[in-house]
Amino acid sequence: MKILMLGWEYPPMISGGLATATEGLINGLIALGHKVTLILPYFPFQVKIPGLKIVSPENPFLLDEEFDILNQFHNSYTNEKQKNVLEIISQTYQEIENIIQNKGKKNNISHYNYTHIENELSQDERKNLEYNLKNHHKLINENIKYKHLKINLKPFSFSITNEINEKIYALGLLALDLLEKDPTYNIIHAHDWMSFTAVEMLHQKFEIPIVAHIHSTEIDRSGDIHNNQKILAIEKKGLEAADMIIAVSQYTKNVIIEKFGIINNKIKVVYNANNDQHNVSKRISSNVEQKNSEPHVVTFVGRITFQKGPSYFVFAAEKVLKINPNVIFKVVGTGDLLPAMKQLIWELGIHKNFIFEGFLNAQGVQDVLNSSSIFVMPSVSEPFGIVALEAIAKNIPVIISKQSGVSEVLNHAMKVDFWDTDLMADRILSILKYTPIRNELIENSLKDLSNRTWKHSAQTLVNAYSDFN
Amino acid sequence: MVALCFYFEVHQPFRINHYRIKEIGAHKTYFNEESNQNIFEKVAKKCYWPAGLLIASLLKRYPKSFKVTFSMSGTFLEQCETYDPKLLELYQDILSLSNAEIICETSHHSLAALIDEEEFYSQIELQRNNIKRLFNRKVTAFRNTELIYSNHIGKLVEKAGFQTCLLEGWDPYIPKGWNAHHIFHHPELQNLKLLPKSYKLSDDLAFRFSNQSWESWPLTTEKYHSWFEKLLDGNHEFVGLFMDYETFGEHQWADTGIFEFLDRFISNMTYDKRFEFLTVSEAANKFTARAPMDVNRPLSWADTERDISAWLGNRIQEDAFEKVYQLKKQIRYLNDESLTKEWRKLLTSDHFYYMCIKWSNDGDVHKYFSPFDSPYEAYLDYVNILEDFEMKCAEKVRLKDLAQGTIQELAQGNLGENKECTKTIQASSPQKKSSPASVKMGN
Repeated sequence: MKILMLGWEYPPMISGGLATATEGLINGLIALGHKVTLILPYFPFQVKIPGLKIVSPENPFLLDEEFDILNQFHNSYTNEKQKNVLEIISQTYQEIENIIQNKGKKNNISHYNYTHIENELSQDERKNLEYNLKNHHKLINENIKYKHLKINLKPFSFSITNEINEKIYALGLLALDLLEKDPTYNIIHAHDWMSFTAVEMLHQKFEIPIVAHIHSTEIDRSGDIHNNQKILAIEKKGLEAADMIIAVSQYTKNVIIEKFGIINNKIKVVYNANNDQHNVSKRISSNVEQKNSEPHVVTFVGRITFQKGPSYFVFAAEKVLKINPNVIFKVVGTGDLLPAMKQLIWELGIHKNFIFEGFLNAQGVQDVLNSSSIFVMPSVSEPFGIVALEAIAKNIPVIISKQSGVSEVLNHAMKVDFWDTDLMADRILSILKYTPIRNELIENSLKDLSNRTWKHSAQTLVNAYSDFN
Repeated sequence: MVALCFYFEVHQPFRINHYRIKEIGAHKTYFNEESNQNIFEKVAKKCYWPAGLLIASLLKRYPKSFKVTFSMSGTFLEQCETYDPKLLELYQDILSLSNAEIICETSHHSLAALIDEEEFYSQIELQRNNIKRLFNRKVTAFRNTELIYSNHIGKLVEKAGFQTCLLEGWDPYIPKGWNAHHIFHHPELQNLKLLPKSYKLSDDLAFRFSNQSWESWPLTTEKYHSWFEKLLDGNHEFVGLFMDYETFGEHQWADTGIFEFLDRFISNMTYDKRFEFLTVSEAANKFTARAPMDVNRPLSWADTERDISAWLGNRIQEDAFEKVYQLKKQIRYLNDESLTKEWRKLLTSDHFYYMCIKWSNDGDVHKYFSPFDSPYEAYLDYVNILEDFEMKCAEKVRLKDLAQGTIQELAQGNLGENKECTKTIQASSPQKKSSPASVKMGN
């Protein structure tokens, strides 16, 4: 099957769970023998994963023949075709990792930061963008064809004032261009609202079934009241236009039904999986034999925003410290509620037990989780919560809110209502106090995790696709 | 002729309250009165009453040809006395009939046989007294909690004065050349007769009766009867139909037709002279033990494994189990009636069953019977209660030591300057006993 995916981010461009989920799902689909072309608004890298093409302003679309020729130039991967797919994937990531280390974080704007969404693009701006994009691709292609020419190419850039709208529109332009060259795709698979404008542009021109994949909705991100009406409208329109909707959990499916009025049987659930299963570390016993004098670390990872419930983490911490003062609470992430969170900690007089790590990259998060005793995810509304799976892969017990999608797939996590800080505190204290429960939680969660592979998720997705036949 | 032996297990545990870490030391009540009463009343309405009335009527209709055997845990009897005394009268009526038998088990449906011989005997004694007091009956046969049996447990049972014990008729343990439809004996103790459960025919009623995906569904009395007729080839003499009493009306609801089935099946059987009903003791007396049955590990009637992993199969179960039996020292020392009662209620096997983590097909069954959201919650409430209980004991130990110290002083007549000094010494030693708890709290 040939799948055209409209995405937003892909490793190493990561601002949240979307990149990891997109990556995982694509890996799963490729492992099942499907071909994926992923369109991104910004991706200044090249991937060499058989079965995946990435198209972005930096990576023009190439037909298979062109693609092969190109790869002969870069002849690094043709010999490796026999190699294990996973191995090639991880090699590629290693290369990309290296590139990003050198390039820094320029242009890394996430969809969580959409202050400019209100400004519509004018007709001129659209035409301009289309022209610039085509021209840029032409130059790139010439560069490839006539290697010796080496035209000095400036990186493609969007307008500073209207970046998000331009990116959204660019996705549509790239997709239109691509489908004109190769209309043989079986499915258009669009991730979250940022790709729904493109969906609208394609919907009128092609008869390829459209699948909208919802990783989070504006309701999850901003709640019922202080949300962005424009984004809500885009989401609603996209959900209605799609032929099928994929939700990352039953929880999200319910939100889509209740808040967007979509009918039940149009929505299928495909759970996320864990990207790290090949490097799950075994350290159950060593982790337990922590010295009594060393404080235990209880960790929160996520954006410090309403959705993630940071204040409940603080209130639970206060209750924990009343009974067991020898605990450190680590906060990884940043966001609009960070100052308020710090103030609250000061007011409660528990600032000495808090460590703020700020925003960390994937490796940084892994390191913090590695040295933690417990992971807590007190989200108010969490469509899935892939980071809980990452924590499990690091052999630490997790406490997650019942208002999360991931709680549907974890049988051996402590589940609490996000507002029940009393119980949350009790569960933290319990896991620290009773070693047997800690070991059972870890061991059995790892079993849960090993059943939750991206290949399995991709299979569920492909089964859902088969409804179109 | 083939003998049929119906034996029903009647049991209710005292379910515990939620108990959080911050409540340790507050000595809140441990047992959830409300839930225990609600569940008892629900099960009484669905099972104990209708099944009891039906069985009473069958026993009276066929006073010579129908026989039945019960075992009722002490915790069930206590709840019955408290929540529904009229129901107890019904069972007193049933057990006044000569064609009904009651056999013995541990009073608190405990796993004591696996760890604490002394406590095992104590609970048997308690149960004997219960049965004597409530039914004026003397027990001669024994079934251990969840039919848990091994060669070792067999020895204990014999030592406690029984010559008959029930056990699971699990194929790997049936003596070579025989089937589960005979009576066997302990490999060393020839006198201890072992009556195996015919698990296929028993579970057809207990588990499969209403299962619509079972190939034999719907099970009619004729069909079931015909399966017994297959046993008339001379190679079968005794069929142990052992099951939870809640099979009737609770596990298999009334609308599945289970009551009508039981009524008709028993009625038809009493007219079929190729079969006879026997109570457990009658069966043990009638048949000779055919071969030694060697059970080298604890065998139970639960799950596909027929082992004890439903109660002691993971770290939290083992931890809780170890902790609660460690308290026996204090309990014996204090000899305090109310503390002993509380402690014994905490020994009931159900508490460990709720902590079972096996999420296989069997695990689903566990989930259905558990009042907890998860096995982890069951464990936490339980160990928090244990720690509170341990503190309660420590306080009483301190008081007792103090009192003994004073008595000693009185006896010695030196109530003078030494008094305060002695007091300090006496009071400080039990504090050591309670220290593990406070150390753990500090972690």
